Amino acid sequence: MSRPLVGLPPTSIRNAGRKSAAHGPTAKGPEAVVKTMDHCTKCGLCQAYCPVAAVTEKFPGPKYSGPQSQRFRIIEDIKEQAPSYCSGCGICTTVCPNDVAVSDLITIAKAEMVGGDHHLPFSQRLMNRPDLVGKIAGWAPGLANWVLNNKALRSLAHQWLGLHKEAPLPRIQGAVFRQWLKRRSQPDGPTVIFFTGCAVENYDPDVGIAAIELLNRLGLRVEVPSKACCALPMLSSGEWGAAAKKAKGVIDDLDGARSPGVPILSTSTSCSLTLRQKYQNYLSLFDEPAREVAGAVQDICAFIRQDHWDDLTPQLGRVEKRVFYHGPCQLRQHGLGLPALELLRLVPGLEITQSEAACCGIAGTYGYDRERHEISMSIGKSLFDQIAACQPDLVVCDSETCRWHIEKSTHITCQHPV
Amino acid sequence: MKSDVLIIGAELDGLLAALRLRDLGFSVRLLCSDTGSLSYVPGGIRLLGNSDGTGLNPVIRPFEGLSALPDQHPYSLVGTAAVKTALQWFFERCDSEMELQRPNGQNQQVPSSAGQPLSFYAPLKSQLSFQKLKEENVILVSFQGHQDFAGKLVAQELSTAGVLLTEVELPSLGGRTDTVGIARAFDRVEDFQNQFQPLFDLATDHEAKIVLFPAVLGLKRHQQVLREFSDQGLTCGEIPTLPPSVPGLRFTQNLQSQLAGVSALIHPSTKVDGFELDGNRVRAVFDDKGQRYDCSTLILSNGGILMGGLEVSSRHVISETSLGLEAIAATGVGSGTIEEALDGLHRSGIEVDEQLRPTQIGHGTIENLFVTGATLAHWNPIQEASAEGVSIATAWAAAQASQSFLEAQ
Repeated sequence: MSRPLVGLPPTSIRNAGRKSAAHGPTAKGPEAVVKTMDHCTKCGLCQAYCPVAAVTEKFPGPKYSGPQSQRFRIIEDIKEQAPSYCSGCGICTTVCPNDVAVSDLITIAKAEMVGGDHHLPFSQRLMNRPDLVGKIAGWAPGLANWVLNNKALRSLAHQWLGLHKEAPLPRIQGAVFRQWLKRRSQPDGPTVIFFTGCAVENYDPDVGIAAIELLNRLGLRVEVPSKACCALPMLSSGEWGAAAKKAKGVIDDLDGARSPGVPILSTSTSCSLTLRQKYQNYLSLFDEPAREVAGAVQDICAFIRQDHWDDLTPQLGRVEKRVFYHGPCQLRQHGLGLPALELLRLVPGLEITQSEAACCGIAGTYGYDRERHEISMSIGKSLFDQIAACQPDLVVCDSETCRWHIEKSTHITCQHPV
Repeated sequence: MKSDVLIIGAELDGLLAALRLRDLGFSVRLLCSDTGSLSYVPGGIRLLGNSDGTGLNPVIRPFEGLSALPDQHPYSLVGTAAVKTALQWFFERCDSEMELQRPNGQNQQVPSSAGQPLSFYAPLKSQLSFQKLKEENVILVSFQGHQDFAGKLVAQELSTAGVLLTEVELPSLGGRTDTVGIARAFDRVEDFQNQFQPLFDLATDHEAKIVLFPAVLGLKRHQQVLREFSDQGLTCGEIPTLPPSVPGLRFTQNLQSQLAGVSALIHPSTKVDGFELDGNRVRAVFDDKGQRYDCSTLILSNGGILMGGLEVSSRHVISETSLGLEAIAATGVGSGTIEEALDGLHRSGIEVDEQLRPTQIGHGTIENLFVTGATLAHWNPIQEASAEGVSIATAWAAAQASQSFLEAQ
């Protein structure tokens, strides 16, 4: 028989002496990130799970490029190329049993290696501005798409700009999303904020439209205050000066439009990860608005799973389709599980196969680079083989560059869960 | 976000409890902060290799050894009959792809990474026993530059034990010198005949039927690699390397894909750091980002002192790291010799009743919280050579207890 509980607080116990508060990989400045190297026991698990080191010798692996090299970096300037081959997928961080922020360590080393924005080649800086590129190209989408699909011009770009001629570039769509939004009449329910990111604004307006239609159906009113890019491409390639400016702009936009308690939703798992963790980890943005925004950002599927599960279920119609779901690598760092998969399982009639691959290989702009495209194709091979074996009607994935990469490589339509 | 069962930790015990409860039809969510210790284990199943911890008196028939264990030992709490049922379930449910040898009730002695005998109840098919090795001429392969395998030491120990051994060092495979890299290179070998001709010639010269490798024989195409060698009339054996362990990685991949196959929900990078009680029941847990997870029962499988499930303060106080439960410090912690202190750290942990419910939380029992594996007190996986056995037995028992609780609701 159970004895009565005497002396226990009636409801909630928070574990005060916990390990994770002291050195977990979430929300800390770059100095604290670098310090986590001291927890490395060289067990080699990160090496074993790294999708890049598995397919190329150019990248010696996260243990060597991360904590192991870091010990030397703090003593002297070492000449190295290795960190630039890290794709930043973050799998190493998620498997580390000792809370070493391996992937962040390497990204910081990469930025130091670059040594300032002006050292980056023009092509990289151009790729780092998907919002600007999309906006300019959006003035004449037809012309832009012709340029992007023209084999001769892509060959030139391959030679001169380092943009791989086979890289999966999205279709430029112009201001489709904004024009649609202007005409949309929304319900008067509770408000949520939607962070579009470069993809919805310029390349994948359908995802944004579907997201807002879905949120409206759940009785929510959606505000879309910011058009900016989250600055992840800048952060992962070392253009940190520009990234800091951009990040502050995004935070101002979002914080300014938000009343306390209002969630900020994103359809991009990489944008939301950047807003939730990377502004702190890389740029030390810890002021009140930055912390507020980081705390309010949620993945759209995680938000629905948490707060609107019961509202969603009765609205789902039958869909007789075979679907292959790939959870992008960044989703692991969120620590959310696979919220989209849980929602998809609610849809009657769907036959769902779950991806066993950890990463598709594109890792944002990583696979666009002339030198790195082949690495990214090798990483993705296991995923593409699985998809080929499954022969689905549709592939579903939460992240935009992954979708473009999968679609280009497998010729099967790839959509966002919403 | 509500689940019937919430499991904290991706250790063997947590994964198996998840599999069992999914099979029973309950909704299961696993919260894991990292990959767990499975990626380090040599591969097979150890049930009870040593009863007195000295290593001098190896247990031959582990089930006889179980009944001699102290009352508070996890095996004693679960009970020998339930341990047997648990193992039977495990072999039926999980063995098809894990390539374990069928147990015959007796332990087998197989070489460790240092070539010394380790007791396994069910070694991997590629873990050859000393007995078998002594019957044939054996070739021991090592790869140039492979630092995580102590070939010389293994050779010395095996020879001392009476194995007729020829050593050979092959050039590094696929240019790799790391364990996992070599294993992946094995996955990519297309023409074994061509690649390993010198080895086959050597085996013919020495009339050797067995080739021992470090445990790197393929990560994904392991079975095919073994077949390629057996087509040449050779039996392949694998000797564990230093971590990470390739057989451990195969084991992990296998279990994870089985779990995905039964739609268990796995949350990587999720560190639990608190819980909420409703009277004497756990209602929900929280992660370090403040996310709340509601549950009907909770299984705590977050590992022991080695995997960060328990930690020890400078004042020798032991605490559990996810929920902050009270743990006991065993004799030896903070005093005595290094061996005694290490033994004490392993034996420290959470004390539980026969249903694996903690007995020391505040002053009462929480009805729907069950603890498994290395988080439990009063056992030492290293000295006893019992890691996988206790994990399987306590996972089973926790799953049974959860089932009873859920069905009574």
